Amino acid sequence: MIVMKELEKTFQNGVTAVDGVSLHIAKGEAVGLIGANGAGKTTLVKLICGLYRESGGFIRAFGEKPSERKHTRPYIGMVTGSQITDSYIHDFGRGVSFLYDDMTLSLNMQLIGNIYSLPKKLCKERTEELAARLELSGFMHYRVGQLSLGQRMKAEIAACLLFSPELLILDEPFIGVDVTAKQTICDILRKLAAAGNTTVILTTHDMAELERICPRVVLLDKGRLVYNGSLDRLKRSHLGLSSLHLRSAGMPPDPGDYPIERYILENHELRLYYDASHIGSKEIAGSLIKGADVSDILIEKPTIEQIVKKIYKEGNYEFGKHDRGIGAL
Amino acid sequence: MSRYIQFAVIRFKSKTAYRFDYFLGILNTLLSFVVYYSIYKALYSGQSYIDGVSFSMVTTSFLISLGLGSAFHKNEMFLQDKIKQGTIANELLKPVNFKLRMLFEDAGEGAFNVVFNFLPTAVIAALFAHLSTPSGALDLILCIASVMLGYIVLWQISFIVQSLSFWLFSVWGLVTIKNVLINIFAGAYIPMWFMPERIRSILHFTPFDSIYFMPVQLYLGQLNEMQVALGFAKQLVWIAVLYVIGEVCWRCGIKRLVVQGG
Repeated sequence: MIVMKELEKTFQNGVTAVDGVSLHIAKGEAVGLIGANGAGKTTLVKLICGLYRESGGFIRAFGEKPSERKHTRPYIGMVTGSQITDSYIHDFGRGVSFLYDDMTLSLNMQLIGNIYSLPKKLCKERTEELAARLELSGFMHYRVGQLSLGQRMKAEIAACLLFSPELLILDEPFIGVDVTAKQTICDILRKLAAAGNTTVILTTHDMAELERICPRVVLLDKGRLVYNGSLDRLKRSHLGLSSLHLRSAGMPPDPGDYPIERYILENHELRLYYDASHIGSKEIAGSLIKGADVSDILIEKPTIEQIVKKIYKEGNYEFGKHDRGIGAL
Repeated sequence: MSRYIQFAVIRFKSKTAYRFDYFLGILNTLLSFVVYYSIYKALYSGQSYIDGVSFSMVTTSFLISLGLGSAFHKNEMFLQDKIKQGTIANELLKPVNFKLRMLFEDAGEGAFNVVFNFLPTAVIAALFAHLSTPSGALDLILCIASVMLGYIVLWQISFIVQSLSFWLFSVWGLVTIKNVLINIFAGAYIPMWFMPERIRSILHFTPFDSIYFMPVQLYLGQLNEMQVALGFAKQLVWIAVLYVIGEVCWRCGIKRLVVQGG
């Protein structure tokens, strides 16, 4: 569906935002695009949509060059969370993204239906279905500008899903969204991706949500693709330190000769930090429980958020040869 | 085309949500008329004609320009906001002609303003001001057609100025200057009858007299068949010329956005 090879985008000010990216995204995939600020995520997304013209390399989406945008447009839905959030801060007025602030949600959906030539009956049915799924039914007669940020984000996603795009691009859709709304959005996107008809590209700094939706991630750094593979593999290759928190009735046990990175001992509590790729949690916990009167034990694994934070911080992009390049091609 | 008409209909419907605005809009339009009426009443001070122009012709001319102005009352920072915030990109993804959609949506909003602001004002104004009646049904139809073309001329000028946002930090100043120039040279405040002949002959070569003055002359039945044909031809030529300029600005702007980023 989307193929790019040695793709480059250099702006007139000399900044290279995308530098030799080769990637293939198949139909129905859910891909997370991650990277620190300025890594080139939004530029890459805009190249895919044809909103930027490539400076070099090759890119095709739906079998055509995106910047020519002859047939691509009806298939793409895009939600840009940062712009919507900005609209709440700066109050731009109508037409911030897919929806008009000064129109009711119901009329906005009619408008989107008209833009994408949906028959009126189908548009109405889909609107009702999406409103029910996204818990927006009670807000259909509200002006979009009156909706809370979370409701607005759900409304934007509903507007995109109304015309069943083949490619759904979500650029930071979780900014300012509360936990419940995030959960609903994640569930919908996961189901959508699982159905296999819609390709989802998600750019976010919200790693927990990324993990829920995208089995595959693409990591960018300074415009270069530094990782392209499964999220599991990323976690395995960059596992951070796990921690074990143990409380005992008497003196805490001695961790012995195990490869412990560091430990903190306070009264009856012991906190150990260790690299789970060197020693298993089960092994170390079993040993400690045997030697002491343990009243409570808690093992914490590093979250994907901590791992990615660590990768950004250390700039360590050693993932192995197979994780770079053109992916599934 | 029915798809685009639907954009106008949806926009019209959306405006009906603001009920309090109806009344404020009527009051605002009525106040403008009363101020203008009072000024010209004082200027005429009992005279029936000044330079062959009757008081009722002047008030009718102002009322027509008020109607067109009310139809054109819109947010002229729309394109600038979209370009500056980068949200214009979202519009380019939609499979419709953005410019045409913008025109129809604005026309829908304009139709609302005419129906709910201008027409009630015109009815109230007719109660106390002596207005000229149309010289005939055909003249009225021609006047309405000319108002529509005048609207497109006005819209295209606005679009050109707004599209300069691709290059300028803000077009607010340009929009203000444009509106002042149009109000002066198109005869919105001072009817063209009172302008010096030299200025009028220059304005004949500009799009300005295609906006307000032509519909007014048609309404009053002041044009012969040849002048009507020439007037409409002039409006159409200006629409074509402004369309080309607008397209060049828009395409160059989009090219700049796609190549350089926005």
